[in-house]
Amino acid sequence: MILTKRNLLAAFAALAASPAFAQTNGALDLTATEGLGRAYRTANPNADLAPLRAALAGGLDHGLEAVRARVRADFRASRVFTYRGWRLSETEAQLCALLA
Amino acid sequence: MAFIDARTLPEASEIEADLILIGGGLANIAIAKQWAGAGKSVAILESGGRELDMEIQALYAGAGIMRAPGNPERNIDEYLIQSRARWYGGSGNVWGGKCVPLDESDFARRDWLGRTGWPVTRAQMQPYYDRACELLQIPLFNRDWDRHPDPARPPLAINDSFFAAPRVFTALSGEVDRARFDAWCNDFIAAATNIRVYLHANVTNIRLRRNGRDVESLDVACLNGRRHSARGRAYVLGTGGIENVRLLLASGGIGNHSDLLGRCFMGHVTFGVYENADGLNTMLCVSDGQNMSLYADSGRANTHCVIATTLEGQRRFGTANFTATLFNASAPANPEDTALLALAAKLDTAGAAARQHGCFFMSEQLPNLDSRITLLPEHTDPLGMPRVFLDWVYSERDLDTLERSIAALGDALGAGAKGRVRWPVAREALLATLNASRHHMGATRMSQDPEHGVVDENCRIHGLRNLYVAGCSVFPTSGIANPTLTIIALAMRLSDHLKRQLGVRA
Repeated sequence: MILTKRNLLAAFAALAASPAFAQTNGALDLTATEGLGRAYRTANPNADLAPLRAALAGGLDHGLEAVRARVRADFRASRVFTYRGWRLSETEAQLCALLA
Repeated sequence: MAFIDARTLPEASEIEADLILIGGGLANIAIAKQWAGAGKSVAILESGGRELDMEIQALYAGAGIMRAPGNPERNIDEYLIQSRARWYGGSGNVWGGKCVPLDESDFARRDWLGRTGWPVTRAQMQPYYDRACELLQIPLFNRDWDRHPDPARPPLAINDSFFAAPRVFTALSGEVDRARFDAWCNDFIAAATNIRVYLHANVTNIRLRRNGRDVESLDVACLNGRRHSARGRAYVLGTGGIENVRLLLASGGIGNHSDLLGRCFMGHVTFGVYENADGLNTMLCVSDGQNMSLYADSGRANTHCVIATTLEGQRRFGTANFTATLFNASAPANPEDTALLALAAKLDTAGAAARQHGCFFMSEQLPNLDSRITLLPEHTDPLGMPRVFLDWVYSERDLDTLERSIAALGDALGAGAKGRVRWPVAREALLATLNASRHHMGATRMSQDPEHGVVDENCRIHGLRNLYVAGCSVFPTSGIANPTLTIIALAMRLSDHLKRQLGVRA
């Protein structure tokens, strides 16, 4: 499967549909993450997003597990991006950059 | 007659007792309680009366600045008056009652930091902590906490670099329960025939014998002009972390053999912002929906915890002690934050909800020779005592340890799929945004080697035989813990030592 912005949005939409999430937080407002994505692109104009695209291209379930593993590995290696004070993994920032 | 107003004594009265306690704050009151009925006479010399008097409080006035690399200086003149209480009961009159022992790591020598390590260990202090807890009528650290964890309030398991450090409140606090605190300070005095409290009795000079090794007498002054003297077999200086230094310096520099008297002043400050100029807060977000009531919304009745760095964590990160204190956020969540944290929570733990908490951080200030109390000889108070200048200096290393600790906590939460941290404060804005606590530590530091401190492991001034210091000015490192419990634990230990020295039978 080739990852497109539409596929990625679908993946997040699926996440947001989980019952626990719906009860506590309502729908995931992906447009609200665009600021992070833009900030990451500005700070890293030459960032290679291909590995993340590739990780997500293996199918929705497999791809998300791979992304989760990347996030944890990022923090273990202090590969982080700070946005409005939030200390976020580089993978989280790149995900939003893919959407931005 | 247990309480005596020194202003009413005949001019040049001589106050005599076996044990003279200079200052009527919590440390010396704790010692005096141990000596009630001990068969030796005790005199407490207290500058103030039984309640706040602004003329007396103004004796604290001086000048101060706070400095940190890359930050504009901050004037703290007012801090010298507002962070202390000069009447019987001392700063216990305004204390909130939070009780915390220092961590094991605080006593340890930490080679990656320099100038650390106490001449006593946490294990050696444990019996005195237990007695301090009993005196303050609270559960024992950490025994009661470890044996009776509350399963409904689980700790957040992050990794071996962080742990849940407990805190307890005592009701014996002037700020919380005035009547009970007053009874705690006063009732034993009325019952003891061997203890007298001299109010309005300011010690302005410590006179040594010619041998330079023994205190001969104290000069005592009253604001109404009366002058007296006091003599004892042993003396304990317990006038607070700044005034202890002031009196020793004003007495010719007693204890300054190592040029450390007044140096290495350390304080506790909290770092955090709430709706800063960009509308940002310091926050900690927990991804897995865990009940965090152990950390937030506990109230005064329950033990509560902060997230603290272990000794192993400090070694790993090359940092000093550090804590994150959580509270329930009151500000409505920003939509962007909500979205970012929802995404983070989804990536951490499928199906879980993000829970946002306000928080502030504390990072141990390390001993620093430039952080210093000196005298202003040209500026004296109405008693003729030189006023103090407090140059409270944070080092580059202090700022590094704060930022590295926050980063390490954020990384540990993320790596463990537990949550995220927000720290929106630039390094150059740290001084402007911090809040200073009323803890004045380190300026008469304790050391085994006279070259490295002012007092020895028994809190006796190096080279002197009968002058001791009580209070947190003897702390060689500051930790994060509110110091009162340790002050009282050290007072218990000092009291035992003094009883042996003065021949009090067990």
